[in-house]
Amino acid sequence: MKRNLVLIALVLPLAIALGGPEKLAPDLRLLLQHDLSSPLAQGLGLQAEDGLRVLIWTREAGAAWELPGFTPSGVWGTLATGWVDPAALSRLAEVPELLYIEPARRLRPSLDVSVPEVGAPVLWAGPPGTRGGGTLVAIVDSGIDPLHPDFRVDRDGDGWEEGSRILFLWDQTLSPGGSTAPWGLSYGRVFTQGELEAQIASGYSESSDTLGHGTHVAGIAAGDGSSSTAGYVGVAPEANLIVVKTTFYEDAVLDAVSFAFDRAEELGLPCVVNLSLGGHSGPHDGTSLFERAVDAFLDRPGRAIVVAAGNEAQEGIHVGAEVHSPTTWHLVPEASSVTARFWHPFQLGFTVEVAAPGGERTSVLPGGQGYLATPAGQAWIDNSGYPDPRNGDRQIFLQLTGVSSGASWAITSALSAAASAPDWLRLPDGRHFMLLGTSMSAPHVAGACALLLSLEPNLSWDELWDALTGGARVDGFVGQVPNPGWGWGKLALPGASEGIVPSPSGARPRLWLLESPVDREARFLYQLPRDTGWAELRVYTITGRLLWRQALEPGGGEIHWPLMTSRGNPVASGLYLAVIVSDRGTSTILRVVVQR
Amino acid sequence: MRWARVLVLGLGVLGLGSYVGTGELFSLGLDAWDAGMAGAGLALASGPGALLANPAGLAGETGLQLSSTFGSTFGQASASTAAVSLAWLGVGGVRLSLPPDGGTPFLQEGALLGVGIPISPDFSIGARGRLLHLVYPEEHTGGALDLAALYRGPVSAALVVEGALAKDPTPREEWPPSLSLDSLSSFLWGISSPATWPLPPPGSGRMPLPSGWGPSCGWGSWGCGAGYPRSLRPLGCPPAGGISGLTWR
Repeated sequence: MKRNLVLIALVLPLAIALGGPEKLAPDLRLLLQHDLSSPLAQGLGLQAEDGLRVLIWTREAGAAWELPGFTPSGVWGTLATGWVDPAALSRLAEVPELLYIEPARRLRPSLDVSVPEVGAPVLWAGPPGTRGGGTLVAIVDSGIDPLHPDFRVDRDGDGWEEGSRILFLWDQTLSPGGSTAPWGLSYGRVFTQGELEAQIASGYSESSDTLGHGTHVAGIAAGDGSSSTAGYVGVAPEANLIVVKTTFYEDAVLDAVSFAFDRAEELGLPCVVNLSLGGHSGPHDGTSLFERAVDAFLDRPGRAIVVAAGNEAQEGIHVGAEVHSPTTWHLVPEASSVTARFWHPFQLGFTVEVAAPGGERTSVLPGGQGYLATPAGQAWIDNSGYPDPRNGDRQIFLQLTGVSSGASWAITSALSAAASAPDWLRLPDGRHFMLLGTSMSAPHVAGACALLLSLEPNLSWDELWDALTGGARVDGFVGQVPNPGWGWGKLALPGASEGIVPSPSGARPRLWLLESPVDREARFLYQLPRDTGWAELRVYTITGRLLWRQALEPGGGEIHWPLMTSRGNPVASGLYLAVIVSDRGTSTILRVVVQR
Repeated sequence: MRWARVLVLGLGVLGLGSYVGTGELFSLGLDAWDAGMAGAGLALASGPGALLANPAGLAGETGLQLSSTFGSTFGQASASTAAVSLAWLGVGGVRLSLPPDGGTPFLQEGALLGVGIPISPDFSIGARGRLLHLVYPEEHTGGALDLAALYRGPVSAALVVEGALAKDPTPREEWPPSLSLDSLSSFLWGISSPATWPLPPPGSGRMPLPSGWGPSCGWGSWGCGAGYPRSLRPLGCPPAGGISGLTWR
């Protein structure tokens, strides 16, 4: 017996050691025992056309090109995407070069999630309900597609959206002409609503948004979602728009803000300007001349400006430049290993040349990778990256290893060529695409300002600030506020509107379901009358059996039902009823369809 | 009663972690009077309502009897049922749908076939098959076989085992068995506070039905009933929160 135990004690560690780390993602391991057409494989939602679409990680850079049974579609250092024959998964996992392989899972756009997430439907429903009518949202950005149905209206009800919600479009990049002069502008060209509607009728627009960034931002703030059935509705879908396609120089941006507020003044409408742009110049404390000028516009009620905060909360920013001609940076490492990232607009390509202290050099074209080994150290250059989904930009990656402290490396970059927008960010409807970053957060706030200004047009910017920050939602992710990552918390319009339109006496709790059907959890937004003593969410079966109850925090916010009973049992697919019960009465009953 | 304890315990183990609400559609088909009587129909089952409450109650029935209910459950969904009983046998259908208001489409249909067999003048047993068809948002079909017993005497008692055999209607969501016991020592016609003890297997999520009220009236072979279990109060007041129906016997 003792000998057997010793044997087991010896064999077990040996077996574990021989087994090595797991190389297959759990869902791929399951696939080893199932056919791709099996219900399990279908349920995993994997891409299985012409093989299985996967992401892999290899020990050495570029090793993915040589892996048996794997057809790479892109290789970036030690990571790669491509197709694998499911039958070859086991064999592939035995290759020593392979570190890990996981299936390429489907991502999805989230405007249909984010707009309910910030509580916009709460204000749409009211009372008093508003979808931003009677307000202006001004977008200063890369322009807009004025033919996009999300910014058009069908005035005569014939099913054809012949009207435009864009009241003015100033394209600063066009040569002066047309109706520019009446607005006292010395550059660019202004298109009025009538001119834009003529362009809609002709199907041709003289001003275009070649980047798509401005159209995307405008859609978040005030798109009406009419171009698709997918529900990509912006925060203030009935607000009118003023759009300025800017040159992105500070003076032009200030001209754009001035133009928007001047038009709003003439129309007698409140206006919020969205600036999903920024830079890293200046003292970063609001005292630059540009920042002072922006502040100066907010001298009267009914005006607000929303600016993107940047996407670098977790990163130190060291250097930035605009490269119009070959530009050289000198990098003096203070450690033996240094990483540098050079961000640039995704539609541009840059050639990068790295020169070692001894004069050895290597040049890498856009889409390529390079390696330079010298007595002073090694340099790895990756100039093949796809646009970063957070901000749409590309980055050139430089890794120096084994370098001597104090030696100077020269990195020279030159503009190479224009590139087209990537297809993989475009959605199947052809009218929407995906971007992330605070450029996209800002128009959520701008749309929120439009809704609040629609409720109370004479709000000043600081009243809006108080409402938005005071109503912001704070949870475990946010932590203590304010903080550099989350600011004052998550935008929550139900709470923000409370500071502007208090609950009328006799108000009852309100409850909204964010999506249905649901398969993992049901997410609700709720709002309680100000003097509510107690309240709880209850979920019943269709026959009235109580399944779930949960106490609610005062005010409002989001609450989740995990599709379980209070005893912890999962509920079956079917129809359920949710309601808030409180000492101020009950909310309307909501139907929750569970479908797994 | 030792066997009953063993049965409850056994079903309880089976029910641990199981899905709740799979056959809820069929509870909608309970007679309005039964609902108003807070589930006491298990021990009082008779006529078409026995098909839905306790198929053992079909034993000893003679002649054709019809029962139909239609209503808006809490103003949220349309529910309709029809049941026919004829000499030990019963057959019926249930349908639940959401109004076409642009929300998530939802439609469930169910069919029942039951039989009651008298063992003695006071005691009968029964069996029932239920077919559940989920139409929207996804189409699935499942079924369950239920067993029942009923004793009628000074103290009536009933036992119903639902889902003794079952085919899951939705993949990976098992249709768990459940056990209900009911006894009734006294009965005041029309308004009642019956002693009802549905004994769920632990973890099945089934909760005791609280008492309610259920007035009913009749003339000739026609009868009508309206029920309003107290548990439904947060969901609205009658008629939106109640259950009503019409019976011809």
